[in-house]
Amino acid sequence: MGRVVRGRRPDLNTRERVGQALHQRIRALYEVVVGPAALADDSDASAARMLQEVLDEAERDGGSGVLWAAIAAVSTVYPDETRMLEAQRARHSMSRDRYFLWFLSWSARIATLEGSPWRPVQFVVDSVLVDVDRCARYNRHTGIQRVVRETIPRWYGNRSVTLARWDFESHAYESLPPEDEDRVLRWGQVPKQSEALHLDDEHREEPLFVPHRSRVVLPEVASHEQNRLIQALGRYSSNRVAAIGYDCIPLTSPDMMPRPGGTEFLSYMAAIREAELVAGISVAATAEFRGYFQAVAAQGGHVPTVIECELAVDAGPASNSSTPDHADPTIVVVGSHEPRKNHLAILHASERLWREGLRFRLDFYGSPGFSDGFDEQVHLLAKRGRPVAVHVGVDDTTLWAAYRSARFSVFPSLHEGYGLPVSESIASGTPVVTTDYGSTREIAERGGALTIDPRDDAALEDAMKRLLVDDALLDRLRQECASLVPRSWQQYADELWDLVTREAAA
Amino acid sequence: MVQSPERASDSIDDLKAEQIRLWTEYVADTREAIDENRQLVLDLKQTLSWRVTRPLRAVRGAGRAR
Amino acid sequence: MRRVGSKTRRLLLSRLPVLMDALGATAAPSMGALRGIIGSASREELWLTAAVLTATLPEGGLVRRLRRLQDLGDLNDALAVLLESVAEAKAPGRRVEVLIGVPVLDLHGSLTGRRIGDSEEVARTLTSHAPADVVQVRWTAEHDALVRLDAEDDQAVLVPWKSSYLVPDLVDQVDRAARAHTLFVFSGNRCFGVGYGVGPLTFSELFPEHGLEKEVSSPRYSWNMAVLRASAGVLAVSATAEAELRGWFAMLNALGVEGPPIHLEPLGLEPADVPNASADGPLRVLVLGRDAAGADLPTVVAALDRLAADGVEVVAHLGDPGAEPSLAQHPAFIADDREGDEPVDAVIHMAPYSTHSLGLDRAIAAGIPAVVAETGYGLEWRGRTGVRAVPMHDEVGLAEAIGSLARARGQERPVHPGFRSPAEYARSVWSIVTS
Repeated sequence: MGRVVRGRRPDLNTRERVGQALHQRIRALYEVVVGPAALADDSDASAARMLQEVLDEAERDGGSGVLWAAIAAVSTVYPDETRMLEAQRARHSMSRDRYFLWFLSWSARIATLEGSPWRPVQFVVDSVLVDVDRCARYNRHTGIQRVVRETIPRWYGNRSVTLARWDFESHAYESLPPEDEDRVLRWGQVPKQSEALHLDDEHREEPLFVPHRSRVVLPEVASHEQNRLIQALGRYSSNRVAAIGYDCIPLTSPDMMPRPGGTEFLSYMAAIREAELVAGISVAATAEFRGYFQAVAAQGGHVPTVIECELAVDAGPASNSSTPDHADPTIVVVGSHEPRKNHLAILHASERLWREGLRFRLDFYGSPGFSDGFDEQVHLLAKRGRPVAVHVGVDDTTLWAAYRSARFSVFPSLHEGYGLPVSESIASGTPVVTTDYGSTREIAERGGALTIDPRDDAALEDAMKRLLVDDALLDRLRQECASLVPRSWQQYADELWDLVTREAAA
Repeated sequence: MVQSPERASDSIDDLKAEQIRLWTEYVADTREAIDENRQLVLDLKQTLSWRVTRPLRAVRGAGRAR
Repeated sequence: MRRVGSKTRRLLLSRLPVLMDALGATAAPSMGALRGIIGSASREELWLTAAVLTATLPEGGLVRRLRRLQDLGDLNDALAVLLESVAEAKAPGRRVEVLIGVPVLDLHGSLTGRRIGDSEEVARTLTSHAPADVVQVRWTAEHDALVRLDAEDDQAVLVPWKSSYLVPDLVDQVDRAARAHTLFVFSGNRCFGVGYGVGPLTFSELFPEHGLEKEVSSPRYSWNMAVLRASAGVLAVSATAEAELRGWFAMLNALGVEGPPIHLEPLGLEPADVPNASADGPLRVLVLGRDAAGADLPTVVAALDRLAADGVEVVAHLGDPGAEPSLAQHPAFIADDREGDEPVDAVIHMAPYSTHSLGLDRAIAAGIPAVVAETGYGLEWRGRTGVRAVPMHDEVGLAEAIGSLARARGQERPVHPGFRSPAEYARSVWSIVTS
């Protein structure tokens, strides 16, 4: 069980706290939208004058960015589309003065029921705000989290970056507490903290972030609760949203997912529909997102630009390749056990090869996914005395040693956004048999790999057999692996930064 | 809480300043009332769970003792 | 492998003649004969074998497993797997009939009342103008097999073989879709679906009933698209739907699949008499659409309020009695009281998302002016005489468009672009499906 984070309530009475915070928020809003508020005092009259000027500016502005910022700052809740339309319609239908009164009355209800009206705001202007919510809050460390924890610390050092998590109490971004920051910036360098339960988050006093004329970067798949608001942020605010596009597996391959699955992903896609840029992690992922936005564009509205920014790969910790304690060559398979990874095809091809009299060990590394009969099949083969083993929860060092000591690896996945095990195998000098389409094919085309149709059991068997019996072929592929320089995380981080911060095309 | 801008005695600027003050009072008071109610509910839950679980634990403990 | 009892064996043997008959096998039905069938069956024949013997439409895992055991020559294991599946199917009373070489129309979606766009009308039209030998089917309560549409119970199940199969609406209940997907991929039947676009996956916020619920049993539009992805062809209801499907199928590259051919097949219309528009009195408008995607009632209400404030007299009828109840009660609307063919002066189609609208087609065919949102199907009509287009959610623009219609009453009529009839539509679709 995690710790409970308890906030502190200062001795001010509620009216004083709420009043001070409202004045602070209006002043901050004014300074961002209009200019320095040097002459303003702390009176209600002064706050009213400033807010009126902001609302006037919202109307002059022509766009909706100032209105979005005004609603967010005054109510402490980012508006969704319904609220944006409501506020715009109210302005169309009433006089300037009446609208001012309406705006305050309307935002009071929002602040009361959904906001944190005692909290100040901090505007993030002409800068980069990165949503690292899940990496900050949780200790999970698989695909997406690895990308975030490799990339964001490389941005953080010498660039102007604000890290944010989502505040589920006020429906806005906020700063990270120190232990959350460690999880993002210093993963693996400081002892792992238990995940906080955040039961008393509503008492946090830290400012809420309101981004303005900034880039809001989504390197994770954002959660269901915030997507509706991020969607409106993308469409109506003055900020430009950029996201990393990993894959669209939950949408196009529900038959390879746990059932029912995919709910969160739907609202996430609706949110990034309003982004300016999606950075696909491979050519294939880029094409997948482009197809999606092509479907979106049929309705005639805005769609993001999708640009490829290929993921990096670890070279793995330097270690002597361990000598296997058995004579037979080993085939390594890395990936969670789920239908999409096509592990049953590997077991089938292996059984045919074993029956043919070939000698090799088959080692699976990866977390249990969901059942498609994999465990039963492994159990059956083991009972027949086949040398097959399943390793769960191994550390990175063990994994890299396994790659290095293997004769080759196999990764005939049916649908990938990238296919890290293919890159990792090649980076460790070990040839790989992989899928002849999508992102794995892209990686394979540079060398060190044989490609096959993963739905063709005979083709998979044939490729595995060739790498088991043909030493010359294996050597050639090994040389290809050795000649390839893996793309570094620094390269990835730099290129992604350039993409998300470049000026929008005219 | 919306005040009519046509209210004769105040100038419109005074009315707007008044609206800022009303915002603070409305939000703070309502929020406080909501929080108090929430605390009341939490206390009630606590009491109820104490009343229900303590005898239950006693029963379970008795079972184990045998 | 689990041992199965002699009851299961008898059940399997009782269904075996049906299978052998369908395959044209002449040997006497026996386990030995079945072993022989499995040993030499094609992938499609393995699907048929699994379907007939278990009296269900199988999922893909079973077919792949049988195929691999066949490949290894482990035919006894394959028999054991089949027996196990017969036991697991829990359908001891079911009789199986194989439908060979006939058109099959799956009307399950229409029965359950699940719909998207004009799917009800599409299903109705394709039913009433179907080929003479069509077999209309629905799924069992367990969503694991097909029965005749009018079957009184779920005991006589149907297995299509060398047939054509058409789904006119949705296959989005997950359990049913998983079996339909296998039918489309493995069975060798020529399977088709109607393409309404991919709105529930691209504009999910407008389709809360299509996949945003988290319950395991709730339908998933992504499954509907997974079924269509494996079809022999998709019949798109409009150019907009076709464009969406092209984008969607481009995504399939990542899973090594090319999408099926897309046929543009817009729904037909009965010829309509052009009614006389009223010359005076309040402007009568008909608001099309039903839900958040199709109607955008908040914008319409705001526009009507503006017109009322400006003294423009408008009477608005809601075209769909099921439209958003909270707004349907708004005093601006006269809900659901339009009598029969009482004429209206204009229709309003402010759908934030649409791929097709039969209501809009009907209005234009009848020469009634329209105001459309500049999205989706509305864009297909923008720029035509008698059609005014305004940006989505723009109540000011909508009020102006309605106001200008009130001023120019009866002067502008859309030009009839020559819709085909429903019978022509159905003929065209069926000729693709059965060719």
